[in-house]
Amino acid sequence: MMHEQHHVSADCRQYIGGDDAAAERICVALEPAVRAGVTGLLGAGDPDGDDVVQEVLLALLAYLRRTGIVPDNPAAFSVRIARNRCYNLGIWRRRRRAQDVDDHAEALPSLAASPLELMERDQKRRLVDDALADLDPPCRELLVAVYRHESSMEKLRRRLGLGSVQAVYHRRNICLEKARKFLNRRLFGCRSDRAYP
Amino acid sequence: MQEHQESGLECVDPVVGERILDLSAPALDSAERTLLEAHADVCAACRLTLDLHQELRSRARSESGTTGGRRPGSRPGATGWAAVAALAAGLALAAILPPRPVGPRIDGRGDDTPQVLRPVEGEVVSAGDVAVRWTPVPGADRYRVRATDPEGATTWTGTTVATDIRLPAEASSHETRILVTAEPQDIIPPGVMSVSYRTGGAWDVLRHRLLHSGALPQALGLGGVLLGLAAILRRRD
Repeated sequence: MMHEQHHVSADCRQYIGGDDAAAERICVALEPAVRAGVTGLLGAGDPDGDDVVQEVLLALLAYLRRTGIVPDNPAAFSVRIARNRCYNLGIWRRRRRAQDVDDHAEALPSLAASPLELMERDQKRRLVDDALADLDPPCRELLVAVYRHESSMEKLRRRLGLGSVQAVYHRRNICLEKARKFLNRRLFGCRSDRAYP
Repeated sequence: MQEHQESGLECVDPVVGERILDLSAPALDSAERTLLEAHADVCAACRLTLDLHQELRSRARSESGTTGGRRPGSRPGATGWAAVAALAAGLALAAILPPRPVGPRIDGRGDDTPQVLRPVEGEVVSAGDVAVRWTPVPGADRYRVRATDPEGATTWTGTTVATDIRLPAEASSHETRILVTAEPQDIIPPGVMSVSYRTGGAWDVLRHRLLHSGALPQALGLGGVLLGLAAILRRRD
């Protein structure tokens, strides 16, 4: 397994260096793991399964050329892209089913669309409201101060007694991450939580 | 679709993903920006974080756009507008309402006592025709108006059956006293209806109005200044 990963990483480096033939080797090596990840979520006979696998492999190749960086574990990297893609596909399908219109029959949502992008405006607003309400008070107050009151970072630094504004940004990022995890739980967590979309 | 086995979206490369909000920083190294943008293009989990960030930011903008809320470096906030409104109202009232009398008044006190209404004692009026107005005196057939200079010399006299009269420009010196008497002469004691005023340019008139305006315009002006200071201090935070 470790040996295979080594090979894939080497192929990735060659592809970044301009060797187009390496793309084929990368896809052959990663396709089984990606397909297994997709099948695990969508099921073996899902009509969009093949498209998702192809999209993910192409996305990986584009990422390599664009950044010139090989992920530590290309297989895990690709499988996570695939799994995220399947989760978003689930939201998109539920919305289509709820609306039951042909307007959405044109194409799948983009590979890494935010789930919020796939929702109606009101749903999105309610979901974000819930995420803020779920935060612990210090986090909620910080996000309200940053976004709603547009308080300066220097003012917040003084109020929070922090040594630098970078520390305020760091704390804001942690709070946003908490809110994101709430959204994740709400959207993809246990069945009883699936109020949205 | 089968049941989800995990708790949803997962960052495809957490080492890069933890820096994803750096994309909102304008001074980001171009190589780092390229990496983060490429990461966001394949990572739905980080796209969700960015979308959450954008949603919260756009809400603040729409709220400030609809409620006139504060945005640093842009339009004045609610406090700023209140300051402008209070100052404008104070200035308008100072221009419309008569100023407070300045110095001792010779005419009588109380609502029933006949008195000169305009100009008020010590008022600065613009050079030119001066309108004099007083309260009616019951039983008076007509009124005699006399203007004197600071030495007491009469500069103009006139009579009227109305309770106002317009003095020509030559009737006023830089400081003028007006004496209004009623006929028959025994209706009110002599000297009861008297006022002195000065003439000056537009700036003198404006300055006098501002310095000696009534309590309401002054309160509005003071409130406007205080609100303006508060708005400035809030914007500096």
